[in-house]
Amino acid sequence: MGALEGRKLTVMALLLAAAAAAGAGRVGAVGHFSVPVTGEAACAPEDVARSLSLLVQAREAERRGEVAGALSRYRAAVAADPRLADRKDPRFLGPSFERRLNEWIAGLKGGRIPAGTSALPDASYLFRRMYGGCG
Amino acid sequence: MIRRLFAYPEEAWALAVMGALFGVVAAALVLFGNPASSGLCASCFLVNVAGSIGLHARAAQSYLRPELMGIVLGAFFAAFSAREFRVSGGSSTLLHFVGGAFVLLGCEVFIGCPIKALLRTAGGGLAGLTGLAGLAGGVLLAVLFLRDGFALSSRRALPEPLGFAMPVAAFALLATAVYGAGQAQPGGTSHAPFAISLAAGLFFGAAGQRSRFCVTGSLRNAALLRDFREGAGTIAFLAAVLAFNLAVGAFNPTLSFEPGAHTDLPWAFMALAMVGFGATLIAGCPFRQLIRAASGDLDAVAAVAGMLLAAGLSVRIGIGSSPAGVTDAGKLAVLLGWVLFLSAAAFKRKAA
Repeated sequence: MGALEGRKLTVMALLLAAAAAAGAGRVGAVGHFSVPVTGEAACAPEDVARSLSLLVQAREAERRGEVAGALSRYRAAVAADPRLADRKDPRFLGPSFERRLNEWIAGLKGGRIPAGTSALPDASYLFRRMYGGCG
Repeated sequence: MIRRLFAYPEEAWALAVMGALFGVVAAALVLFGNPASSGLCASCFLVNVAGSIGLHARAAQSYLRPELMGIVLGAFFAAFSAREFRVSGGSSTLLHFVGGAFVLLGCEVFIGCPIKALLRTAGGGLAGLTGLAGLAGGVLLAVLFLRDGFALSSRRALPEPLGFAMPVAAFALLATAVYGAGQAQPGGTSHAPFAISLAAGLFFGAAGQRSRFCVTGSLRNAALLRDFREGAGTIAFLAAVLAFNLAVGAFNPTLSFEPGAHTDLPWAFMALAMVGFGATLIAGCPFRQLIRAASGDLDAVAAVAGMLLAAGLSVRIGIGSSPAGVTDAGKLAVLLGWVLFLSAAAFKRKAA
């Protein structure tokens, strides 16, 4: 640490800055940038329609007892319209969904619900989305 | 003892008591209704206020946070009564403005300021702990440059009325909130009752001004000056929140089930490392900048203005992360923040 001073430190800072600039250039070139829809609409109409379709599929999968399939579709629906996981929004999936989700999480963690490897990440996504954040 | 706490806050025990009180009040605000781990998060509060004054339009993140106005007014009253309200500025004001903006964007990519990183860690969040490690790394890297002569241009005294801009703005926003114009709309952000939030904010501001509570500042002083007094406050904050969470059953060690967090650990690390590095160069994380701004430091006012604009921009162009992960705009913001701060560190040294 003591040797890092003067010109060496300047060179290190410039090399790191150049690496960060190169990284920024790459993200700028290949990244996906889209302005999120906010305000009254909060979601693009096509996203709202897609989320409703996914919700129907999720509930059908749930009725068939396919927890993994249901969770994957609920996740996709919430990704399309985040208001579904906002407990203060009228479009919220509801306290009964919240209760079922917590039961599924407990079941998946305890191995009582057989499901694929994506079920727990899908459930944890819905959980993180539902509780917390800056709002 | 309370008088001694406020009159002589330089002793380690006093700073530790203050830090613990900070932690308990911040944790309690969550029980009263604030979002998880957001009893005290300067960057989240700035995003909420930015939304409430029209800088972005996402209802779920818009609320005229009484805590924020309380912090500014509490710090102002504390500074004024202790004769520490001194109006000054002109010390790399532009770097404060742009740097403040990038510090805020880094916080949004991580999802929380350094204080929220402590709160998230004390709740058992491994992503919070990863961010905290990044913050420490960023501060330690910045200390190398401070040791080697990094310094902002010297500050000069300015006419006193200029220093009232920040407290007056906070008071005006508070009056707006009291009259209901800025209250949360249906679907708006979660929050504790107004009076409790305001009282907590006034405490955070006054105690923060007296104790110089600052996560990055405490790390910097420990590494640069071998002065661990402020570190005692930070450790006490973490310990108090941890004890509180254990007592109320809110401690849950987890990576994937941390409320409101994402699991992109490398970017959580990188983002808060950039925040730690940048905040050390511009002398304060978002909370500290608010306290300095309320105490008459006009460069900090520039930093707060930069943070507020960045808060609006973060939501408008999708820089802020969500539980889905870090966006490409967020990654770009973190990398550009590193370019800015490393360039400043390279060229603003007397020894360089």
